[in-house]
Amino acid sequence: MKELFDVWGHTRQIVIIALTAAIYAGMLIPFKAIPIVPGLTELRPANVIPVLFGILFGPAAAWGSAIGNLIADFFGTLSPASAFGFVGNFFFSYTACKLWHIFIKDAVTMNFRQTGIFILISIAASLVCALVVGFGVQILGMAPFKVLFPIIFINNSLMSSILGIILIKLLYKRIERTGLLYTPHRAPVFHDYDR
Amino acid sequence: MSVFFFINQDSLAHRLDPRVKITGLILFCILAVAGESLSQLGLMLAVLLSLFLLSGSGRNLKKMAGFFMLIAAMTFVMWLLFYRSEETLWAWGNLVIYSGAASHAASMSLRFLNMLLSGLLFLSITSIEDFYGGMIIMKAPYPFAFAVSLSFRLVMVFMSNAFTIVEAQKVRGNDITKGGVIKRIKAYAPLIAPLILTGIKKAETLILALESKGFSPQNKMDFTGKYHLRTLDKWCLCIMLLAGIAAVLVKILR
Repeated sequence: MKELFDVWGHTRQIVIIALTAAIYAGMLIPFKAIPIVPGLTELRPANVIPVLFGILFGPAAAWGSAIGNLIADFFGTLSPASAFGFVGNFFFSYTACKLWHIFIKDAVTMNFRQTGIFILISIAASLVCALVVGFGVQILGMAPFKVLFPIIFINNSLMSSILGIILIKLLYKRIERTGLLYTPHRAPVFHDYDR
Repeated sequence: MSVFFFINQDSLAHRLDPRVKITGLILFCILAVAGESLSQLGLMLAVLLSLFLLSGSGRNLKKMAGFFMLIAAMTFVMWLLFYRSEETLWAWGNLVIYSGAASHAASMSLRFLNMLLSGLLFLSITSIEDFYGGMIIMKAPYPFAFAVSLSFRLVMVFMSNAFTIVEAQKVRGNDITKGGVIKRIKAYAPLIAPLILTGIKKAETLILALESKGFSPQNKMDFTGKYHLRTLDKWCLCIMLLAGIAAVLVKILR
């Protein structure tokens, strides 16, 4: 729990928060959604970001995902539901981060076992997000839970698991070299000069 | 925010203190949630539309009208189908519409519309700088306000990069509009990977730039003198407070 708030005390982590938020929000418009049922269900490629960045950058990415979703709402759909979107996206990313680092402590190679864990984690994180947003929007009376929950759950699960596996294979080593990777089982990522 | 919806004008609404604007947004959202009857929600809609006209933000309303109407229509249809009461009004196979569904659906649809319009009005009259300043003077933690403000600025850079990448990949023959769902999802990987790598490069530069300029999350921003509550702001706050109390009383007394 402490690590969630510790990130706000470090320049490096604040930049990662802003970077995650900007990439997440910035992807929502140019990368158009894949419509499944036009006007009702669509797959948004940007939904891979909270899970992928949660695993790569840790709690900073969870804050970034929450802020990114809020910023995306600032492009015309700001409403009280944005608060639930904020919380839902935070847990979407943080659940993925926590579960990944509980199960994966060795080097990331995305072998059969790690790929399976990645898919299960994406589904679990999507479930948490869909529950938070679905209940929130139902409480506000904006949309029925039984409509919104499956849409968010399927959308987030599909995008984060399929696209996430490809992207983590492509990006992991490169990001590891920059030293920005969240590594709770290895050396601390914070530096004295961050304070 | 400013790129898409903020209209730089000199209306009374634009001149309001950011604290008043943020309070107003929160209050409008509370009123939308508290409002139950069609008349209350209709009145709120009328007030919001008048504020759009008075603040010279009609352009944004026109731009988003189609999208908002689509959302309102979808909300209406959803609640019409999912509303449950004891009396059945109409049934056809598994499709059942219960008594009171139409008025409930209309209320929910108006409520959603009011929330969206409150947000759009706020975006039309508030610049990023004012939003950032408002957060700071309303005692939001400085690192949080800084991260939000920085994200807003970076969003435009990444969106522009994303558009360039999409065009470049189109030229290379990566068509994301063809094939089944899985194939189309996979086709996004070559678009997203370069965007993330550009972002990582930018982060490394940004960390160095911030550290070399002495940035620290423990810094304090001082907006003394830039923002102060004038008579107009105080009047607006009083009116909003009274409207809030009235809405709560109406809800309790009903």
